[in-house]
Amino acid sequence: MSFPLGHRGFTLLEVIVALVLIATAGMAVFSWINSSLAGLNRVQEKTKLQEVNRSAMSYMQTVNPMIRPSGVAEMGVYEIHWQSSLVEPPRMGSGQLGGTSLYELALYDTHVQILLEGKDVTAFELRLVGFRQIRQFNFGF
Amino acid sequence: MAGKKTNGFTLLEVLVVLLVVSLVSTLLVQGISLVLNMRYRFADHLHYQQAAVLQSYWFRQVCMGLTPDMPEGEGVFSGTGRQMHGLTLAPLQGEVGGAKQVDFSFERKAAALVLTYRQDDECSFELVRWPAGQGRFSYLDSNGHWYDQWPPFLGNHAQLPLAVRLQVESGRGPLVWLVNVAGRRQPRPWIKDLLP
Repeated sequence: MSFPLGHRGFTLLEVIVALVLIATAGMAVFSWINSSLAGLNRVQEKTKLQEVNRSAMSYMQTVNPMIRPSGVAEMGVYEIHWQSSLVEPPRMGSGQLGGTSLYELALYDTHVQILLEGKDVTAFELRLVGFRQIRQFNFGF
Repeated sequence: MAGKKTNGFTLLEVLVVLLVVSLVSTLLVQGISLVLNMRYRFADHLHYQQAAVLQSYWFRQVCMGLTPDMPEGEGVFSGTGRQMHGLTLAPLQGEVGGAKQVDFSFERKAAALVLTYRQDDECSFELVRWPAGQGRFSYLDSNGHWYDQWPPFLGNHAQLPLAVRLQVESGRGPLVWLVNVAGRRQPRPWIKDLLP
């Protein structure tokens, strides 16, 4: 105890306390790395989902909700389920120069759900126009 | 005796310290390798993601711009599981709006699966390369059925399918690109076709 400061050795307790501190700091760093890894996985997951959403959106462009208000379609390994509800009831479309058109139109809100092996992957809402031909073209001459 | 003990370590103390130091350093070295590995994965993913977005966009652009040709034209759409051929208004080279004949095909180069794009015999390039795997196209008709070839064997169908689907099973997991054909699917009728 009579040694000047700096020449005195550490006690075992001090060394162990220091090592425990280092280990705790190391643990903190690892948990940070782990959270980054989880982040990376989520980014990969989201990228994939974005691609799937884009394809589902593309498929929904081919659906006429007045003819098929709800349904299921397979899209590779994924499955699309959609269910649409009427927002604006059917009305006559207007043709060129303000005349009547051959079609009636309605607006639908569509809920689209995407499943992978029976499990929900993602879902989104979409507003679609439904149409149906209710008149025939008449040449009139 | 007590004074002597505070002056230095005993052998036992040194052993304990060495043990703890080795444990901590093992953990740290593992941590470093983990970080390096992650850095590699990040770089790889970043590169892959940018490329994947562009590749998907190019495929979508060309397929969305598909347009019917005159019934006897060379650009009439035809497709099989491995290849498709058609006329598009959105070619990858040249001005958008100028109709070009394009051709997508799956090819196998060594172990890799390659999606090749060809345009009017002017240019041809690798659009996507997967390390290995299986790929195919399929085509949607107005009734919601998928076909492995277009036009299908039976039935009276429009010149263009309602949508085109590309499926790839590779080491990167399943991939699906589905694109609807945005424009008209039949050539504009001539007046002589309408009159009796």
